[in-house]
Amino acid sequence: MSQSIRLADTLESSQIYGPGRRFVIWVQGCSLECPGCWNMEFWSVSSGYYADVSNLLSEILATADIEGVTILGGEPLEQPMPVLELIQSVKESGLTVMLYTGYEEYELDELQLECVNSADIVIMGRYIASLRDTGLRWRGSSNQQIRMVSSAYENKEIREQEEVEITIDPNAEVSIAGYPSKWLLRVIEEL
Amino acid sequence: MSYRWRQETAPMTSLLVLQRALDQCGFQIIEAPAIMKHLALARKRVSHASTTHDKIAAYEELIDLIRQIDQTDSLPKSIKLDGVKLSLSNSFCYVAEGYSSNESTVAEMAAKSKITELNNVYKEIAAGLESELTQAMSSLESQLREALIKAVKAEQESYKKSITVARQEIFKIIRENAKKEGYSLKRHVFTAGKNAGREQYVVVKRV
Repeated sequence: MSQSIRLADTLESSQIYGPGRRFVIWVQGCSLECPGCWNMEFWSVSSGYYADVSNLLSEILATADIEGVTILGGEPLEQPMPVLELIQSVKESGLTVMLYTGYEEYELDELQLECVNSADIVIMGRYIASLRDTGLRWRGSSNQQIRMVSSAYENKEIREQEEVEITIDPNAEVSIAGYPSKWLLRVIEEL
Repeated sequence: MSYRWRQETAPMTSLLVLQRALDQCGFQIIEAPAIMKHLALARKRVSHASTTHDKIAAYEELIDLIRQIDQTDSLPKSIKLDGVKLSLSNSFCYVAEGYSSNESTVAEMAAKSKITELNNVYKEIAAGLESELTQAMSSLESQLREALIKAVKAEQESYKKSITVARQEIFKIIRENAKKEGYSLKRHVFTAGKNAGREQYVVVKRV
C-alpha cells in the first residue's frame, strides 16, 4: 500500500532546481528552522496537505517533457518513509531524482541515508544566512554541497550561475522560484 | 481618532470583469470612469428587457460598449466605492483604502472581507467565461441566441486581450530590468498539458 506524504506545494515544470526540466515537490514540515530561510511557511507540520505517493507518481508521469523530479521543502528527510518510496518509484519509471536536505550525513539514520543513497543528486547542508550567495547554482548558501550520488550526472559540468524562474500563469498571475537578488524582488513586487 | 487601513487586491487585468465583479459583490460605485457606469446600465438593460426584441437591442448596446474599451489603458487609476477607495498601485493590482475608528474595527473588517470576496468573484467570472459561451449556445430562441453568443464572445475577447496586454507588459518590465542588471533571459511557453498557457522566464547571470 502506498504511503501518504505531507506536501506544501508542487510545480509541474521548472528549470532551476537541477538539471533539465523537472517536476518539483516541496514537502511540508521542517524542524531545522534555519534562520533566514526563504520557505518559512513550509516549517509547520500542521500546514500543507497529504498526498498519496502513488497518486503523486501518476501526476509526475503524466507531465510531459521532464527528465526528473526534485524534492525539497520543508525537510524531506523528516518524512523518510514516503520520501524513499517516492524516490524509488520515480527512479523505476526512468526519471532522475534530486533531493535537498538541510542535514549533514553524520546526522542521518539508516532510513534517511537510504533516501540519500537512492537519489541521483543531493544538495546537503543547512541554509546559513550569513553565507547566502545568489550566484550559486541550485544552492542558497556556500556551505551547502552538491553530491553526485549516482552516475546519472557524473560528467555534467556545473557552472555556477544565478538563476531565478518567473512564471506567469494564464491569468497573468506572477510567481517566482529560486534565490532572487534584491533588484528582481523589487521588480516582481512592483508588477 | 481614526486611522487609514489598506489592503491589496489580487491581480486584475480586465475592466469588464472588474465591473461585473464589483456589481456582483454589491459595491456601490460613487466615482468611476463613465464607461463602467455605462456597462453597469447596459447589463441592467439586458436583464430587465422583457421582450426578445428589447433584449437583442440591449445586447447590441452592451457589445458596442465592450468594443469601445481601449485595452492598453483599460483599468481606471482609481474607483471610489461606498466607504472604500480602490487605487491602482502598480500595473495590475489595486490597493483598497478606507478609514477606521480606534473604537471599532467592524466596518474595516467588513470592507476587507468584501475585498476578499471581490478577488474571488473576479477569478470566478474570468474562469467562467468559457462556460458562459457553452450556455449561450444552448439558448433556445435563435435570434436571442445569436445576440447572446456575440456578447459573450466580445466579453471573452476583451478579457483575453487584457491578459495578453498584461503579459506583454510584465515581460517587457522583466526583460528591461534583466538587461539593465546584466542578466540573460530564457523564455518558455507551455502549449500543451496542464501547464498550457503558462509562460516561464529563467533569469540567468553567470558568475
